[in-house]
Amino acid sequence: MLHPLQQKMIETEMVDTVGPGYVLTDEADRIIYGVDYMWVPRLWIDRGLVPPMPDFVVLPGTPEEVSRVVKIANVYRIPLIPWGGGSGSQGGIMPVYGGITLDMKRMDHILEINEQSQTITAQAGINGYELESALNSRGYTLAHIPASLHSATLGGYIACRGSGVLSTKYGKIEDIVLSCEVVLPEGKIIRTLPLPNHAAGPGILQIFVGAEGSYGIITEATLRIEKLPEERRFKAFLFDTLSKGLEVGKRIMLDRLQPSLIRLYDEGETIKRIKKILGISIDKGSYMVLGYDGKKEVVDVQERLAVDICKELGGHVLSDQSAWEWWKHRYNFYFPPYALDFPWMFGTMDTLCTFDKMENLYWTKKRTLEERYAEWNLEYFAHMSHWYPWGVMLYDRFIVQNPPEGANEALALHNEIWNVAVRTSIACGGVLNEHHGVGLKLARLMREQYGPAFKVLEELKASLDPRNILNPGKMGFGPPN
Amino acid sequence: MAVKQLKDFEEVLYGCRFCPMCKPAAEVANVTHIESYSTRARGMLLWRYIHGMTDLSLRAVELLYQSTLDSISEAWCVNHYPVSSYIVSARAEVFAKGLAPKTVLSVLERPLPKPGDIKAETLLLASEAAELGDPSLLKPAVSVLEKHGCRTEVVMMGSGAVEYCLGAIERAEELARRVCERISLSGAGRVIADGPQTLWALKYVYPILEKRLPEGIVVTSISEEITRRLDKHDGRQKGLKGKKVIYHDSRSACLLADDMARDPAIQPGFRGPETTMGTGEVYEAPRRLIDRLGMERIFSVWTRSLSKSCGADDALWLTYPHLAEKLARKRLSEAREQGAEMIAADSLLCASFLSKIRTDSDVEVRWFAELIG
Repeated sequence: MLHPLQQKMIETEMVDTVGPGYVLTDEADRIIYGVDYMWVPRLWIDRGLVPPMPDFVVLPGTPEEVSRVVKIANVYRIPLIPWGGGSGSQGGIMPVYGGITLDMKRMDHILEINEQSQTITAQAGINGYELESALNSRGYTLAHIPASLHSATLGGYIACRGSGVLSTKYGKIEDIVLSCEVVLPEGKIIRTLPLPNHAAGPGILQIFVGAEGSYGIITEATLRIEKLPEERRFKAFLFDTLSKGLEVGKRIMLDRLQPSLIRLYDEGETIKRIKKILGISIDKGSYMVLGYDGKKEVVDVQERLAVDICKELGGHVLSDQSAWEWWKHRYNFYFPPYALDFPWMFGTMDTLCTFDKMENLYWTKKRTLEERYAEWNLEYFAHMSHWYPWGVMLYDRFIVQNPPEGANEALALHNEIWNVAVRTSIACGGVLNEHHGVGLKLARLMREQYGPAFKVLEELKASLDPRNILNPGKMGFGPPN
Repeated sequence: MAVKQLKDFEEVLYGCRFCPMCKPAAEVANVTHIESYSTRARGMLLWRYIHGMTDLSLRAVELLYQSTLDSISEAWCVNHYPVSSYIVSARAEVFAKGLAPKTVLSVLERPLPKPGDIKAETLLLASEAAELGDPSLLKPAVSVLEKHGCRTEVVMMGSGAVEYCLGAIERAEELARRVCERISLSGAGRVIADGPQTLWALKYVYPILEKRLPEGIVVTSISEEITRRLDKHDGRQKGLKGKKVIYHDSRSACLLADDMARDPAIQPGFRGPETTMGTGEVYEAPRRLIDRLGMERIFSVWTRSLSKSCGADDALWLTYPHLAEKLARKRLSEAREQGAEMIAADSLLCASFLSKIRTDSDVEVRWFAELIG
């Protein structure tokens, strides 16, 4: 805990670095920087408590200013937490040891759109929607369209290894990013190699992708971009069972038919969410949206073959309108009152495994959670929405409609459910998370996920950040030294 | 109807307090880059306040005022949560508690308009011009109307819109009462508002303040009047044909939309043709005129009910001009990036403020009436 006098002294140094107006210390400003989209800080607010807040919020305007703030943080051994859009669901921005929250949004410029090679270079603080808008107006797309598009920043996309709804064709952000500029934990500004596909030793780019600011602060990135598709199509199907839909998705992927999207909902989500939000009248079965993007001739062929598979395996063809309804309203799911919100306890436990293990993973997880938390009437539902040539992501969620009133009791139940869920995923061949990240929420489970391999991450952290000031308490790393 | 209490918005604030979905529309947050200006932060602050979890500190009050009414977030939200209404209610509560910042109070020190005795069939209520303190600004509109057979008497007086925006409800009511009285005594059958803010006051704010205009009176805007009349004449003006123009809808127009009608399919980078993000004559009349003049309209997502503020809205230009200026500069730079040669605005306030700020910009700014006058 800093004495107020020392706090003022440090504030002076930071104002000197980034300019007046870009260092915030009032509680009315700081409190919002303690809350992202994770359920836990929201619980704290909901119950009238104050979540961990940063001591300072600093808005740097250049990588050099980031570097200088990092150096100040090192001198005083103050934690430093990068902030993008505050839309993360894992508590990755929570300043659990106080310190400086570094809001990156002043660094929001597009530096270059290279049409010859179809790349873009932009600063990390640019808002996802603004970035996509700028590209669209030039006839391009980043093709990274996450639910957090409106809020998240480019830096946040990369720091959390995020994924967009069209990732099945275009890849996750780690596939899209080519290189990054990073401020290291002691203030040095580095650039990863200009391209990721080299044989000049291991790729250090991916050390920073998904590190949630633990290894460095991403200030700029170059990414691949795509032409806006000449043709964009969506079709909707209804399958009797999730199993049939899964088999269809698998066949489409194994036949390399390159859909932009396969979104397969289990029966629970089909009935509860699809019907409620899209207004499509479905009372049973699994709803699937299949999407194709690209040149018309290519789309014609790929889509026809994929639709044949759907029909062959018993898919009931719904109207194209019902598919487009999903695309048009895909953000509605995240606006109140449709978004999952209090008084419920809820969480998205996305995981990933190969095709052969998915059905078992889904059913085991559903059964385990619903049975173990029957007294809490835990509801489990899921969809599968990021497909790979070898497997698929399970975007599964739990809801407890009447969690304990007390914050500590609610937190204990929340954490226990997460422990069970993640351990079940890992035991069934899945991973801790697919695209939301680790943050504070899953930090404690990182050692279990990695086993002895966690030492690699730990040693890297110790070497790059000996004082452990960058985003402490996340990713399984401890407090500042 | 009356101004609601802040606690009446509990359910809405409950939804807004953690929701980051309208961030692209959060105007002041996007020019300051500071999270505490976002609609989410404001929602969280107010929700905590009505539940007794926090006080209205000096900074909290400042955050409430360093904003437009944020009706763009209201339009952006798929469920149109009444963001602008709860900001007014919050400010009214701040005001009633005597916590309003000095800069706000100084705006309210202006003398109240005196009673007048103009008799006329048609009044031109010049509230925007009154805010700007320059009656000569109205000349092009008055001359165009006269040229097309519409004689008006100009009444220069504040409508109360500024006071309403600032939460000074009693003063807004008094101004509204005086405006209604002046109109009533004039015997006019038609009142033409000199801009969207004036129109917004007459059509939207006065019912909330429970102030009634004379029965049967027709209330229109200057752009509606001019466009309607020009529909019967040739309104082409030399030098404007083919000019690339961004039509800037005032924030005040947003809540006058017949339907805000946020297109659920809003895609980034929308370039046109313009779809129905807000419907109604308040949007159509000026567009018809611009099209009639042969100008080339440039589209963006941020149009109609999603039009972003130029800073001249909701008294921000009077209370925190440095923030208003940032908004104006942003609009001017966006216009330039989109290849516009001109920004045309239906609002005298918007056009005047943008003109004042545009000193280093090559984008021309014109008030709607100047396009013809």
